[in-house]
Amino acid sequence: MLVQLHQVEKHYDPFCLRCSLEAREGYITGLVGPNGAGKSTVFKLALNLIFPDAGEVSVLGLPAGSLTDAERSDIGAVLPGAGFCGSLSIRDILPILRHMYRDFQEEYFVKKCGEFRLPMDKKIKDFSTGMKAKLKVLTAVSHKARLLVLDEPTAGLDVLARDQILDLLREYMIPGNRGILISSHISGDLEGLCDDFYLIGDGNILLHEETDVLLERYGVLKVTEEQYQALDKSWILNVKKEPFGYSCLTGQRQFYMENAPEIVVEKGGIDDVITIMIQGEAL
Amino acid sequence: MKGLLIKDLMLLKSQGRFFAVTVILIFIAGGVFDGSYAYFGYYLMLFQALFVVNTMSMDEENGGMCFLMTLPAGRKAYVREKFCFGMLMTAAGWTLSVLIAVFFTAIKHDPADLTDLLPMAAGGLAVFPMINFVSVPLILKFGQEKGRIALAAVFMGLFGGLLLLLRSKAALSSGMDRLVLLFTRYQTAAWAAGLLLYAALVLACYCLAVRIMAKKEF
Repeated sequence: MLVQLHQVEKHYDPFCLRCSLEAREGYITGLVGPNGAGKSTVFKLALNLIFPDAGEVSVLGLPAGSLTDAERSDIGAVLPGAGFCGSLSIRDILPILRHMYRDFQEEYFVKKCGEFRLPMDKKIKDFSTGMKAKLKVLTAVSHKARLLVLDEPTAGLDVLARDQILDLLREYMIPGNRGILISSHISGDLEGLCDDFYLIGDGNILLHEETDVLLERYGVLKVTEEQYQALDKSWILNVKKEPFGYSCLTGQRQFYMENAPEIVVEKGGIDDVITIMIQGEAL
Repeated sequence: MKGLLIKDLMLLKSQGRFFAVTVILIFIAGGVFDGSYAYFGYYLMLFQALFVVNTMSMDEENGGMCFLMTLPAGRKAYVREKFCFGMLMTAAGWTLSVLIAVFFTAIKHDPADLTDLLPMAAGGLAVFPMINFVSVPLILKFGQEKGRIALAAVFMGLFGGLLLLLRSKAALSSGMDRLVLLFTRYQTAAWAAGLLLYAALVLACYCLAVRIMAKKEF
């Protein structure tokens, strides 16, 4: 197991995080949820930047706080708004990375900087948002890390820049013995990238599902008040009141397509899951 | 730790123009004040010593500390590096100040100045690194702004205490005389005790900084 949070609690009055989650080798695990749900708290716990009030956090099979420098060099991290000092240039950070990581792939890093059109001598503070994001992800993937912890790595990027970063992450996963824990507000990014995902809301894990299962089996039933009253609710996970009636999230789309053909059943996506699970009510 | 040290050297390089201008101004000040070490040497060392505080401020820019703590360097290594970098900077400042002083002495052809220079330079070498050692835990604990105020308060407190001591010299004269007598009689032991006290202070600052850093959340 690359990351394991076991019954972890972290209190920031009035917010309280209570969660258990796992990120496995060979998997890209997504963490989704609205702003303030606790995603960044989970990432910071995994990176030992904050300490749990209860429970255990283990990374690479060891307690997060006990990792040696050599073990920490197996982790690459991207955090929103955090990076090297803006007064430095990429040429300045090359020797830092060379001495920091035992397996820093300088040639690969420089080559990718060229491909991403990142100037070597320009100060980082003068980079655009996209350039800064690319540099952060590139730094994280350039030292043969076994685990990437990426909090909103594509935030504020246009479609092309996002695609470049997602391709870089797919390329990173090729060796097979690696894993990524990632969050993003752009559900399309996660649907196309993640093997499984956790939905977090108000500090609690509301759902854990494999992405393929979500896309194949989950659906949203759009029903009127009358249809809702007559509906077999055995497979309904959450319900959200709508102006037309109700949106019902199900993990058994096929069941309703076969047994209630008069009902509109839409394919479920991460956005629907977030909306109905967070804003709706459980039955 | 080497990576962090290189990072600070790169930050120093990025401030190169500012540094060059300051050193030139100090050099000119040295000329204006007739090459008197106390005017420019101490200022140069203070300037170098405070650069460590500046690097800590740069580290905190845009969530930088959060990022640095994800690198394979660790919290203890960060403190160790700041202490080493501080020593490196004050040693560089000291060397430069002595070279400038020797330059002015050579111009004036007065070898007596060199004799005066030595104790002053040695004093600076003891005092200015201490500014670093004290500032690291204070800034880690209180942050940049409050940390600087706390640093100023510590040194003002020290100087204030010294001033009070001098004012009440009459009352303490017998004690002071006894101390001076003891120092003269047991010079080697006094130096050793002084060095031990200094080392203990440095160690206390280091341990305090490590402890603060170990508990700090980012």
